[in-house]
Amino acid sequence: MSLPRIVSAVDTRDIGFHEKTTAFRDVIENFISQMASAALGGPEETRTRHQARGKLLPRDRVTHLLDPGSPFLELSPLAAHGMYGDEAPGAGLITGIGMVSERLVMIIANDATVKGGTYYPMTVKKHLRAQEIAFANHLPCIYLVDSGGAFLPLQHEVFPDRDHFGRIFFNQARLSAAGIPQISAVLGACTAGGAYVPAMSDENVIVAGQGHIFLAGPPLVKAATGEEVSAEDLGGGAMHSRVSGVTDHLAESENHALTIVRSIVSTIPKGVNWLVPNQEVEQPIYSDEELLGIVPTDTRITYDVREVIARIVDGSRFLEFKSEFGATLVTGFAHIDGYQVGIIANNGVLFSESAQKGAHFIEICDQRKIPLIFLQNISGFMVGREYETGGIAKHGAKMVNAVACARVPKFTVIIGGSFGAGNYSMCGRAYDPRFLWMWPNARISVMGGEQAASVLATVKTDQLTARGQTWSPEEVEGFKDPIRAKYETEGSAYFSTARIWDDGIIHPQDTRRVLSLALSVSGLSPLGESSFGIFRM
Amino acid sequence: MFSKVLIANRGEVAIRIHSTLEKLGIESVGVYVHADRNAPHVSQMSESYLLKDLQHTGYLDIDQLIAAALASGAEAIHPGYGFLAENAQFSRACKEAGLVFIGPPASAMVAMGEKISAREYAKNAGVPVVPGVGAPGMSHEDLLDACAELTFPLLIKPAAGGGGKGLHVVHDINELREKLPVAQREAKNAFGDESLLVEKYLLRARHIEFQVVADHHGNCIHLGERECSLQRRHQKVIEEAPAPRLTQDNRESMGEAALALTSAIGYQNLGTIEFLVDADSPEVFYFMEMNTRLQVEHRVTEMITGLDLVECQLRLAAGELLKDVIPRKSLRGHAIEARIYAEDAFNGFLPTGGIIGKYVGPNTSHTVVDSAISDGTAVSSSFDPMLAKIACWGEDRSAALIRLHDALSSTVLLGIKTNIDFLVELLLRSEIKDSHYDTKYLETHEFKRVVPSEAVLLSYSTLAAQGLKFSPWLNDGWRLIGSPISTIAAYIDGVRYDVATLVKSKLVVDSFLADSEYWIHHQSFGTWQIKNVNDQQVSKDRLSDEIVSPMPGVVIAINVSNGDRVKIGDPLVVIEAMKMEHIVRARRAGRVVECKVASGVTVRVGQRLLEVVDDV
Repeated sequence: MSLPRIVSAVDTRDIGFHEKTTAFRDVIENFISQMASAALGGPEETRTRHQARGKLLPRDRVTHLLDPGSPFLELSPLAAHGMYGDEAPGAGLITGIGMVSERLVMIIANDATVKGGTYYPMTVKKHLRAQEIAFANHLPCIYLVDSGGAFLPLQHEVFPDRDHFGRIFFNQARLSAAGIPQISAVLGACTAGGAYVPAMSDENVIVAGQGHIFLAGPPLVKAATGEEVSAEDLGGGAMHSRVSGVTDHLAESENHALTIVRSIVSTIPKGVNWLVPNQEVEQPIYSDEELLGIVPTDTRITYDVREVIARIVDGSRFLEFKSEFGATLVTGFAHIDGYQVGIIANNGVLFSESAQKGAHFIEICDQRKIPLIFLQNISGFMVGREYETGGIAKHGAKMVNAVACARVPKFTVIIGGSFGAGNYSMCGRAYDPRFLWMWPNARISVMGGEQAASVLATVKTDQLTARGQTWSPEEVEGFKDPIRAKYETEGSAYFSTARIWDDGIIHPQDTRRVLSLALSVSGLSPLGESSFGIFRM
Repeated sequence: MFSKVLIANRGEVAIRIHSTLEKLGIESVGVYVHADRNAPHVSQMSESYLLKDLQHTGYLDIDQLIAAALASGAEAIHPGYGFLAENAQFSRACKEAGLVFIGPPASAMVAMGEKISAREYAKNAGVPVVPGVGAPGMSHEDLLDACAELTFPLLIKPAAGGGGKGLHVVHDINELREKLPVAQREAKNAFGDESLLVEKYLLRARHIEFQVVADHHGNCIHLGERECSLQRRHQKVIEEAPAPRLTQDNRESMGEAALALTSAIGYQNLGTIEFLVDADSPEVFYFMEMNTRLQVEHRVTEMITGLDLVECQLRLAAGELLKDVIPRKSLRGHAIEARIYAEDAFNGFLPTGGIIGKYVGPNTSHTVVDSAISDGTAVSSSFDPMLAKIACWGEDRSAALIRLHDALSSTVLLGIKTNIDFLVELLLRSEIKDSHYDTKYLETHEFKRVVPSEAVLLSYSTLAAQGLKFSPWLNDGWRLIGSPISTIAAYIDGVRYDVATLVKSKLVVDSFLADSEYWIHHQSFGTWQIKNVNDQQVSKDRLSDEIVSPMPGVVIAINVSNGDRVKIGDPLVVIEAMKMEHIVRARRAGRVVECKVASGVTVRVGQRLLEVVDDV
């Protein structure tokens, strides 16, 4: 039985629609240019030198590794954006999911054109996040190694802590123990800590004359012991493949190495994916281009989120749950590329009823093993005496609890604002969604800049009043402006994605595609059993 | 009539004979060698005997075959074609063991089995023969002298040969001198007799053969002719009946000649008399040879006569009169057969091999398929490269041609390269439609496969098809950053193409995936092998040139050893495969290293033979 279609009320001839589209196009244009520049990797000179040595650029390596035509679901391509003097595009690491020898894998590829592929703090974080995703989704990891190890000037942010460099190898061991294959191809330097990536792998490949693995390179060896040795003799492919046994396969060239990796992957048993499409794919009946005219770039302006759902789900079909109750949260069932999903989308501020409805719906989806998609555009829970006395804190807590404990794969897309406790109940980063993406217009902070400025100004006014002082409206504005500016900057999607608070910014028109790819990945890890029935809230 | 018959053969012909035996209510007994233990000809017969064999010679082991026949209680042996079908010794051994050999008497086999004596019999029966020389025991020097009176080009044939094996065309005295010893060696290896026959080589000839039938009581008739001019390497590819450009007068005079010879040698059972007809003056014909057995192409004669020729063989061997076996001869319509070979027909007809991944026969009417293949059949160099034959009948020639074209197009055979697409293209050529060709047509015309843009679609529909269920992970190379990868490289039949990413195709294809090679078939576009470019082995052309075996076969000569200096074109290794000697030559100048093969060793296709490195 088909689900009912959403009837769109959008008038694409409306002047407001066109204005919004134009405004959104500017946002998209900026997004695309940021992405394109990060995608290049290191400085042109470095890239040229890299290629002159007969080495492939990391993106080409990825393409050569993938099955022809396989999409590549890249993660956090704008990591470290605006950080480290903008010297580390993509944090010098390419991570993402693709199909290799007909198996879905996580690819983690160093970009040697970015500071020799060394690990900045965000590089470490990006690497660990990729491993975390691999763990959650049971994806074999393929490391294309070409890295000089830790970025030494920032060693205090890279080396000592729990989630620093050492965690990479800890994860490799644990992933391997969990039956998730760890495979590496040594395509360049693997120095110091980097040497452990291939060493900790189940199976690895090294390129003769190009890949090197050593705990200390020739200069350090000379400094330490006075021994003079060539890189090839110290840690070359021939030595490691024939003498030390550190590597398993000796490749003639990079292409050969990648071919070997492909053949290794082909020996991995295909995982059982419990999540399978349960109906034929049907494209949405409304164009996804219209998203740009529907969603305002200003998060304060409201619109009906069903218009967004209609442009993402199969056939624009959506069976709403509890449509008459708690109307500021839209919940219901739909399909994406044939995969059944439960959708939870904000349509205004959260009230107690909306939170109860959300908790109820999450429980239903979890019980039925239906993945959940959160479309976040939330300014927070309703405030005020009426609501506090109505117990909004406990009702909100129910939804937060349901989100935290749901076993099913959860996917979060921040399509507008993400403020305060709304972020929690809508499966923010802390609630372990399998993936979390932002649209380029999205904003994230504990509260809005204006609210923060007002709150802080009020606190200050109170302090002044206590001391019998006052301040002029101009002084108040002067106090508020830097706060607004700070929130403006720190609330942007770019600030978030640079710090890997999300898995990347996506083009709104890619939402359906990205969700579909992610859904198809998410059923490889088994679900546990649930121990409660569904509570009517 | 017999109640139990042993079939001393394998593959499609064993199955073919079995089907007639089954129809007549006669029990079949099969034989097989170890390598064939799972072959269809074994599984179809209720009783089969294992032949102990070394190097696949089991089917040639007379003692074992006779023993099997006796053990099974069979009264007769049908030899099929190939193997011992024309072996007089086998025929005699059968007789001695009290078994009926289904075929002619040994004397007729001896008379016709050896080319030199066959020529003499034909001459004596008043049948024209090709000018030529050759007598048993002549050395190659003797032959060289005797050839002085002939005009070049000449054709060297092993006197004991057949099936196009060991034939050489020479254009001048030097070439003749060079090839005679080679031909003698081949003849000795292949047939155990080094006698050669050297004949005038007709530049433009057509191959027309007459099907004769004789009983044990001195009666014989012919069942019309077949034309088999479309050949490569002297092996037939397309056969048809009747011959399209033969006039009624010629047909009659050739038929009379065929019957004259049949009677002259006291022939019995089924036989075929092959003639060469001058393509430019069709009234000129020469006796070529007589095949004293069932022919591969017997189906086309069956289709136009309505007879079962194997049944005729059995009944004649059982002593029935010809007029009872064939009460009335009537020919109707036209029949054409194509042989499907494991070969790369667009690339010099080089033999191929491998494992058949998927086989689905044609879906046309008035079609007969003889094959012994199924999914999983391994095709090796040990046996004949013919995989199947498809014969179609039509009211007239053009109807039969169209039907055969459709039959071939609808045949799905994936996993190894075959000549099916070549045949499909061949049948569309105007020369074939108009019947303007001679026996050298296939080898002197250019055949190049055109890659349709649809192949691109096909390649991706296959990639999609192999997932069976929809997956968002297929096909269009989507990327988060920038535009999707707009082209992807793929090897289509070994040639690299950078093709546009998909457009999801609605084409329905048959597909098969083996070792990262996709094999796909579509009725309109044929069969394609698509290899993921990312899986293509990189060539080691940096410093050395690795010489690999171009096909599976046996090393029969090594002309170099480690350290030898070679120049481009120097012969390095000679490999015998599929009845041919293949010379592997140096592709670059340098020094030979890593030469690890020895004469007599069986090599796989792609197996490393040696390397040629810089001579430093």
